[in-house]
Amino acid sequence: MKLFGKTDFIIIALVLAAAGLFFVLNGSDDKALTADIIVDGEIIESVNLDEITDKTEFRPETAPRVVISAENGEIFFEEAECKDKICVHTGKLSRKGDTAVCLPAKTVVSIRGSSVDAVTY
Amino acid sequence: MNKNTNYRIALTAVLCAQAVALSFFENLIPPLPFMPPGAKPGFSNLITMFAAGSLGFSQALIITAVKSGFAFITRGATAAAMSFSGGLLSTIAMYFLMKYAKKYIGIVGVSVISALCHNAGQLITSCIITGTSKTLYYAPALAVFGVVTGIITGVIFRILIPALEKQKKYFLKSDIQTGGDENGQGNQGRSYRG
Repeated sequence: MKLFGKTDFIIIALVLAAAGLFFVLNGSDDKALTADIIVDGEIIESVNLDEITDKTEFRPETAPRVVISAENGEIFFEEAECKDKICVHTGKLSRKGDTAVCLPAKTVVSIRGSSVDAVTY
Repeated sequence: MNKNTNYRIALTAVLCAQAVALSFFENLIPPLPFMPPGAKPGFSNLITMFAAGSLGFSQALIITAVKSGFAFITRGATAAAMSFSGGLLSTIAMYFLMKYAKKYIGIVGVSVISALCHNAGQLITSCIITGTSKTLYYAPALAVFGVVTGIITGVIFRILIPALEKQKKYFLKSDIQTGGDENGQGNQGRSYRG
């Protein structure tokens, strides 16, 4: 079996082009951002990030427990009781589309524009 | 059932151990800022790829299952579900590509596609677990990361083939004693050489 051929190059180019297209289409500077905290598929809290001045903590009832904090137009998983802490390492979310996920706690934090036509599911 | 079966089981067990060891070392890599959250290079796929291409589908699946079992013990049920869903899809992709598309595609291509299938399986699982499709936000970043790691593991795989084939021969050389010549053995006929 050869290491690398024409087909391989085409596959790689197509995937990178598709990913690049997504990055370009996603780029928007929508002001007035809202962060949804979704537990088990249901939005339990919608946070308007522009209205938050002081640091606000959210502690949804999940197992393992997580602490989500909002501050200065950013929202992030501050603590998690799980083992890998992938959600905490995701860092601070501030742009439309930014998403952090804690799989063990079935919790998602995702930022959308506040506009009415925001895609919901 | 002949003596050969035992050697195949032993070889599969050794490959399982090697895959688990690679997963373990991979978990020691700290999360880097440019990597999508939770993304890993997937070095244990080197072993699955060898099994899928040179041993058989069931052996490759066993290795995938053992890897998930290891994830369950060390990192819990969610990690095991992610490991298995990704592993299952990528193993299926590897096996069929190496069996039917060998002429058209290179090792790097197989490695990249299997990395992408791994991502796809995990994204589907994450959507099911969280009950929202928001996790698909990571798809483009994961795709780019999958292409990069796919190329890297593909190249490493090419370098490792002689060593892995040698290891396989070490276990399956007993074929010669149990009758049949080296090339005549059905299962030994499939290799990357030639």
